[in-house]
Amino acid sequence: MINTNNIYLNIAPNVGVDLLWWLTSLFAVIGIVYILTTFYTKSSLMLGIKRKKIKKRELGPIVSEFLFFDENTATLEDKNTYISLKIQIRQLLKNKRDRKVLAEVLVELSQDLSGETLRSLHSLYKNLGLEKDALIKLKSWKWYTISQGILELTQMKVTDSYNQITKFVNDRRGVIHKQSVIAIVSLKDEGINYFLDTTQHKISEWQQLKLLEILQNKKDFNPPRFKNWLFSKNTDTVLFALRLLKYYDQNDGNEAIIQLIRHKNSLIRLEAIQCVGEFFLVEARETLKNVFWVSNNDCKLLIIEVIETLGFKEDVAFLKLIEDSKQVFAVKNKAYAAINGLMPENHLKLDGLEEISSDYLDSLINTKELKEKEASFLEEKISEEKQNNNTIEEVENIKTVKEPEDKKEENINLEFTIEDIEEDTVKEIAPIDDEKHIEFIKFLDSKNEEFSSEIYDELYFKQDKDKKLELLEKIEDTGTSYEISLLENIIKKETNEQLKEKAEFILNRISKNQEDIIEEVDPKIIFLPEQTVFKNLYENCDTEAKLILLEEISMLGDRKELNFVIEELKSSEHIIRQKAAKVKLILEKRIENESIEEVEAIIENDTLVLPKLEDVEFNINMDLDSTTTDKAVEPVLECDENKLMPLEYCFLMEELEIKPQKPFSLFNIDFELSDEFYTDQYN
Amino acid sequence: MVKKRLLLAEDDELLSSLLKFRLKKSGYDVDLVVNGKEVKEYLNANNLPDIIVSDIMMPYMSGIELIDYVRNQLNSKLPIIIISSAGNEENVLSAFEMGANDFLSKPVSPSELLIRVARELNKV
Repeated sequence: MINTNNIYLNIAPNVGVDLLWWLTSLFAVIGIVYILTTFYTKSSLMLGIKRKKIKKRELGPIVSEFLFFDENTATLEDKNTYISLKIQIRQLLKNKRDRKVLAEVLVELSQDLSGETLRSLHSLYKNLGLEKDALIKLKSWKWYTISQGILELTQMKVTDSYNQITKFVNDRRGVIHKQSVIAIVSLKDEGINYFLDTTQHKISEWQQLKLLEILQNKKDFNPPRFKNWLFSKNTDTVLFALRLLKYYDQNDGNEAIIQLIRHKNSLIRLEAIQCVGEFFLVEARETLKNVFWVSNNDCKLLIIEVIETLGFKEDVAFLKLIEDSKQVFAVKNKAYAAINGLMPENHLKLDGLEEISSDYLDSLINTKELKEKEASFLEEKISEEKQNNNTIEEVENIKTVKEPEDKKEENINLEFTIEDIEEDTVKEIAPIDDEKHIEFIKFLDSKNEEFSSEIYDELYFKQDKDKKLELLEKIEDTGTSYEISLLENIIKKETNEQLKEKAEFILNRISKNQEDIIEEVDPKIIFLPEQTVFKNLYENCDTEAKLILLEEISMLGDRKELNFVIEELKSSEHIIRQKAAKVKLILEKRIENESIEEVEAIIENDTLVLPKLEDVEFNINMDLDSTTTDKAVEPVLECDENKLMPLEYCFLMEELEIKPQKPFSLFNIDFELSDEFYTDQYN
Repeated sequence: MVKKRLLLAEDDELLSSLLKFRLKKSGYDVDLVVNGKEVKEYLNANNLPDIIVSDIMMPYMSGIELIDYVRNQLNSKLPIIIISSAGNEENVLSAFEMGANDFLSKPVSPSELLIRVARELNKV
């Protein structure tokens, strides 16, 4: 068996035990030294921090005392304290370490304070001569010491240090040149000019934002003309200048901006294009179009956007070219959107729209023309009537053109004029503002039938056979007595037998219906409020609309609407009740006039010449506020007994069951027996 | 004239000592605490001050928690002015929601603080 121990002993190097012990001791000592050094360093650092903290705590009140000392308001005790503190601080300033702590205190405080106190702090820093230490730091070879010095001088607003700091603008050490740029821009307004003039380094996005923030916070800052740096050798300067140009809205660098659209740097190109849109540089359109084809997609999208912003319809052709060319979807889509933005009608498809025949349009125009003619004719007629001071029977003539001649003659004896009606009835009972309008409506009612048939005549005979048939079918479905004259005309003039027969058939049917209606309509029939067409409309209206509807009823309504109006006298709204009362009287008047029998009776009985309404003294007192029923609306007429009452008011009084007061006279004894007498007799 | 008691809760010793000095000079009796724990101890041990001026960011207890504590635990409506650093609008909104009366943003103007304190005390 082989003894392995011997083998290893033979191979292993021969190391002295003393050496091993020596090495062990060495490493142990190094370890101890390392631990002790670490402990010592840590302790000294902690001690330093603690001392600094204590020092700061000591200096805090002293600084506060200096900052808020006001010689004018200070008491004697305050002044003594101030002087003793001044002596104390002078002693402190002799010590470099204390000076350093004091500077730190002031810099720290400057970050947390603002306003007047901050300005006092800056003054104190300079008065204590602490900026000298900071300036010395600038001469250090250590980058962090220089950086500290620049920061301190910037924070304490030591403008005198501006020239020393400018040396570091193009320092090769990043931290220092960035720090110095911030310092010079902060310290003086012209710092930005110096920086843009001289900087050779890249200006990062963060740095640009920081500088912009500093410029924004500057009071009364007058920005330089940034167009001066649009052709700088430093592309970052150009980019930053473009952004500043845009931010400060300086539109004096238009030519330079247009040239920069062609810049090889895509960032500058993008920024320049944005400026074109921002400053609305229409003269850049051609350049934009030229640059488009050699730009990247971001630029292309921006160019399209700017062209759309500029809003020239002439550019649509260019956009269409983009749309038709081989571009990425986003670009094509943008071009499409821009075309729509510039000419929305360009992409409107007309295929799906319904075609309207010219005949139909003509007929519409003719209808409109006819209606206009109708209106002008009526107005002319009214003015003529007014001029001639027409009597009521003449007015009746106009209203009922189809009335027989003999009826017209029967009415001649009535001698009150249209003015009388206007002034004394319509005006009093229904105070509608426009008198002409009242007359117009009156005539319109009577003329509707006539003019409708005229219009339809024209419409009908212009149509072809199919349309005529269609029209006749419509008349068959919905026709009323208004269409009778049209149908008669068709029968008379129509050459086509089929259409003629159809017209005859419809005429018979309508005539039969009309007869039925005439038979059905008994003047004495009481129409329920629900039977009026206004009812449904009225129920869903607000007050204003209700008033309008009542106005319409006053113009167009007949006996169907009377009960509906009476119903409205019970309305909870005063204004509605008032209006309903007026409308009721108008309707009653209209119904009255329509009753031929009544008119005849009047003519028969009334052979007396009626005086003009102006001669009659009367008052109509209507207590509408207290009105709850139609009976409450009781005009009290006080007539002069020596004069005859106008016919209109006789009707009115009769309608309202008002008996005029008879003068008491012994010779006018009423022998009429009372109802009670007869009741007693029969019982 | 009885001096108004003001509790200033601010962890920055330099700033707090400066503000304390200024407030004292204006006639307030100022007690200074540097963290939330001290605020709680102070409020439990002493009578409530007339007004609290507190930093929104403090160790142990934030300004918002302090408002919550005063409003809900102590059921007090004493005026509280919050000091917050710029760009901390969300916290300011939360502070108002919890019942802060006013706020100041850093960097602080001691003159402005004085005006706000006086205004809040005049409201009471």
